[in-house]
Amino acid sequence: MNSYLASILIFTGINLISVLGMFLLMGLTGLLSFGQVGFMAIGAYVTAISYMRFGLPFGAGLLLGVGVSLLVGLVIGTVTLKLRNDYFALATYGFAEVIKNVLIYFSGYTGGSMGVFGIPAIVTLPMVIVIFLAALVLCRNFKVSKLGRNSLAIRNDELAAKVMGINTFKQKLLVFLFSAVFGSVAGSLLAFSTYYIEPNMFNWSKSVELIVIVFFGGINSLTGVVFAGMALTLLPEILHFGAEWRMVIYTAIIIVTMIYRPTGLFGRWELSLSQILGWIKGRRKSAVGRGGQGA
Amino acid sequence: MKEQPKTLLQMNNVTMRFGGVVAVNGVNINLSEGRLAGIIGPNGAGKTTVFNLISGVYDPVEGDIRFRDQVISGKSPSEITHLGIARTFQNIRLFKGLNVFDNVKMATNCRTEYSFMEGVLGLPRVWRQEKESAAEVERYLELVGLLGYENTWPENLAYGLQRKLELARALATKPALLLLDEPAAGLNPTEIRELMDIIRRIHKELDMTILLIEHHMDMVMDICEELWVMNFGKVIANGDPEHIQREPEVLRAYLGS
Ligand SMILES: Nc1ncnc2c1ncn2[C@@H]1O[C@H](COP(=O)(O)OP(=O)(O)O)[C@@H](O)[C@H]1O
Ligand SMILES: [Mg+2]
Repeated sequence: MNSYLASILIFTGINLISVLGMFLLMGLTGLLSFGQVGFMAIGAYVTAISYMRFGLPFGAGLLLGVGVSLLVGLVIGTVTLKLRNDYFALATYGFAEVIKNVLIYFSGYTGGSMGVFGIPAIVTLPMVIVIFLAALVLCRNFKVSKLGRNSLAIRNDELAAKVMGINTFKQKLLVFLFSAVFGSVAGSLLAFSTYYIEPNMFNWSKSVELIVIVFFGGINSLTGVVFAGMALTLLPEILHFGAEWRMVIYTAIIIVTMIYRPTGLFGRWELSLSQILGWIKGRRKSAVGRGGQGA
Repeated sequence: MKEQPKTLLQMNNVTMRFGGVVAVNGVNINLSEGRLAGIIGPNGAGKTTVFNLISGVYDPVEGDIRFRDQVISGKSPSEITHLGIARTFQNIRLFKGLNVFDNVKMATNCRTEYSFMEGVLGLPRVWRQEKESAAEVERYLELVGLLGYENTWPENLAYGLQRKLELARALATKPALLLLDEPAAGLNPTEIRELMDIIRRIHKELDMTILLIEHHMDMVMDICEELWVMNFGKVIANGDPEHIQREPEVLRAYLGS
């Protein structure tokens, strides 16, 4: 495969992994978070520094990144998830900014605003695809089990959810941590596919991108966010949009979606295996039917 | 000789204030196990607030509430639900993002045992329990007459059916005590008769203690074995329906004489 195409696909896959985390948090649970990019930064830097400085293998560094993200997530989540949802959104924005400033400040380890250079490109397209598919399966399991129902109930009416027996704080915290894992893994993969990382890669605009994807794809449709994630990551790459145009386009997408499809492009619609099998069967049948008529 | 029934719910001198408004003022309620009882009273009397206090939505500023001799005032709503109290809401609060089936199924969640990790990994225990819950949901939907509506979105249901769905959802937590806040509000006479039959069936077949708030006097007088009458945050009378109907204070509160 053409290496330019491969690198775009790798980037898209990594983005999708992070988006899946956002889908659980923002789509299903209704928690708008600007913090996902912070966990991506943690994953990226922990993995890169432990590899470059301490010779830790990539896989171990990735797991270490997840561990650090979980710890940080536990602290942030415990403090902020008792707040009202709008304050939570603000607090996560602050968290991501703090992470960025920490990266710039502790330049002895992080290279400051210059970042970390010379990270080997260990990440391959098959690796990204396998991790993405695993993440997709976890998300699907989440959605169809009691976890998904609990989250949707919380998103729709938190008080009623509590009264129906859900420990809403615990559920929110678990989802927040789980989505942080997705972000962290995506960050680790990103670091080892781009040769260098710098604090500016983990800007608030990256969070906005993730949010727009979930919003556009459908806050209740896994199929929708995967589709939107692919479209909104691939298209700008292929069409070579500049960063400034991206924000304009994101804004336009949000406004148009809000006016015409407030539940997102796909709403609640999900593509299921049985549907796909149904289509294939239906096609075969009609093909056979046509063949029969012709004969 | 009949055995003295056990007390299931006890409110001792419970008071609740909102700013300057004393919504509930020194209320004492002693509800025996197995009763089908009611709270009546004019609008703003504090009935819904009593339910909010029992279900843990608010903590009383004075007094305590006991359920099976355990103090529940101060516990969170979800803890109280786990202990065995469920309720419906006067202003229907169904989950719009979940279909009829899942609205009821989510209420069985408080009894499923699998953990977060088991859930995301989709382990066999998850599927076993999901299947058991699904069978239960069908039973509750049948009981309230909502079979066939599984895939409908709650906002697309007729008003009367939404009330029934709230009822099925509360039942699905398998409570020992069921609190119904004006279950007949907004229903037509046929629907009210149907609802009364359902409530009687729940009381008998599922062996639940039921406390309901109601405006329709004939309904209350017909199905309740015991009543509390509230006015201005206070309980002004307590007893069986015939007794209540003759209380001068009740007549004053209702007829304004
Ligand atoms: N959350 C609240 N904040 C302020 N006032 C409230 C609140 N809930 C109830 N009240 C007040 O308490 C009083 C009793 O209300 P409520 O319990 O809803 O009465 P009922 O159900 O008997 O009609 C009313 O005056 C109402 O305005
Ligand atoms: Mg009321």
